[in-house]
Amino acid sequence: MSGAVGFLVFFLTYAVVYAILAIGLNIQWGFTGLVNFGVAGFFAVGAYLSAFMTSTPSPYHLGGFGLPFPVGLIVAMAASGIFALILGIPVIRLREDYLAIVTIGFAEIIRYVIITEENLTKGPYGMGVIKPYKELVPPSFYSLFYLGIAVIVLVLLYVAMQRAVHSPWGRAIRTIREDEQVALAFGKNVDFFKLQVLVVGSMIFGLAGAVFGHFFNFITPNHFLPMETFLVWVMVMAGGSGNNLGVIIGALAVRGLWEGMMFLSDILPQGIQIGAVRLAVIGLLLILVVMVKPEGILGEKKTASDIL
Amino acid sequence: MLQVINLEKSFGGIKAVNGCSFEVSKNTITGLIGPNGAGKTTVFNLISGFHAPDGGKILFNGSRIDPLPPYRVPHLRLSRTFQITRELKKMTVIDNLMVAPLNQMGESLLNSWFRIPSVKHQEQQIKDKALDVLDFLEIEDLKDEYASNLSGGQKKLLEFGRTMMTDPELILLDEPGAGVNPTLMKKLNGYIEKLQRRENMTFFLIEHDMDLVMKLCNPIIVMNEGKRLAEGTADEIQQNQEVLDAYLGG
Repeated sequence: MSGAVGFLVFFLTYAVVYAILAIGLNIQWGFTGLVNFGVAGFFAVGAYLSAFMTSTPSPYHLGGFGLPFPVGLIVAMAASGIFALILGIPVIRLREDYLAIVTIGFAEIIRYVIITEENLTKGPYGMGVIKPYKELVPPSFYSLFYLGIAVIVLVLLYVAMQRAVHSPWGRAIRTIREDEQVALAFGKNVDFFKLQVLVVGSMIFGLAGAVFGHFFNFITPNHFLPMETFLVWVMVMAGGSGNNLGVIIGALAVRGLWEGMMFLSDILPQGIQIGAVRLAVIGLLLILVVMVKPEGILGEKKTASDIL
Repeated sequence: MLQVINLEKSFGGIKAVNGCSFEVSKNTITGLIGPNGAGKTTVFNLISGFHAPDGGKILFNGSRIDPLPPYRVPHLRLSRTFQITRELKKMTVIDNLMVAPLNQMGESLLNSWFRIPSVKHQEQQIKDKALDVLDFLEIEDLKDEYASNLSGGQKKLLEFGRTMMTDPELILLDEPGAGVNPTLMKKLNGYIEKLQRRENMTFFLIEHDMDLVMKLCNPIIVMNEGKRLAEGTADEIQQNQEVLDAYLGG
């Protein structure tokens, strides 16, 4: 594959990983109003767990079971879900801002555990992750093949989440987002719904982590900085909080902007770092979205349930 | 039907409800009145489980309900509205109603994915009921409107309709007339009376509009300083010197 096509495939796969993350956050924030600032933590849990499951035996890190790729995905989701459940049970009743503090703290604890537990995770040096099914396609087409796998995962997830949110279950979680007291007054077990959403959304972050690890073939704690969480938030807000298609578009647009700005490095005056410019532009984009189009590119669908 | 026995609730140093006791009998429209700060809304919040009492008991159809969390109370067929309307702003009028019924099979995540026929059948029944309620309240044409776009009076009707969706035996109405124009208020009274007669529903309502209370409610309970001050028919309450003193600050 030529350089331009190769870059496009790389960009699209990266964007698909973020679209998966954005759907997870959309379930939590867009539909339920849960403020999760710890997306990167669950993303990391998924990436490392899938790596442990699928990698070949090694004395330098945990796992190495050589299990198939789908098992890696399932374990990644299950582990992230279990972490969310353990975190959620004591904190699910916290108000928005306190939940945000707890979740960002959780994500940083996960990252520091990965950094410090070198004998389990290879710490800051990072660990290799296998390329699934690489024997099925010629090496030059592998990236495109893997993009196909990532797109299939995204489409299946999209269909599953569309069914979930456009149903009486989705109507109940939207009610919780709008007014918890009303949900309680009409017999909804608000804590239980919120816990379900925290777990399901976090399982999706874990899934994204696994897809990311097998795409990058190498993961380090630096892939899971709080900045990743911030980017996913911008994607959800720009794309349309409460609209799964909107947040996919948001992921493509924000990731495109992020990667596209790399080309500015040649024309920027010396001394200006591209990393700083990227942050400033994304921050500006967020401010613009909130001021000009608070509902995002695609707003929320009007009807809550399409079950009939 | 509803028994409140020696109920107590404090917020910091303030005793909002201070040994309050009364009963609401089945198939009545019972009024709860009293000056501002008498503890009326706190009593409603205690009955509906939104506050836990510091002391006393609340019995509904003979069972204690005060230890229950708020989401369990509606399952006993006891529903409520709020003093300030709490419409679900970014949801349509019909969705505001359809979320209200209890024990919806489609509210299970697995059922939302697999959508077995019984889930669809129940959803259809809920939709038909919501349309009936909208028709009863004469706001059917607003069904697809966002609730945030309704007028104050229409929001009151929507909130009233939401309680009807749960097939309650007892409805607690917190100031149903606040901010409602006289024509709409007359209509709302008509609905309450019709439901009480036809569906054998019981209403317990807080209201500051004395004309409305005197016309609609029997009996009327008067609260002052967190306690029951008096109880009786409209005529008895109007002639009660203690009540007059409480209202006039005598």
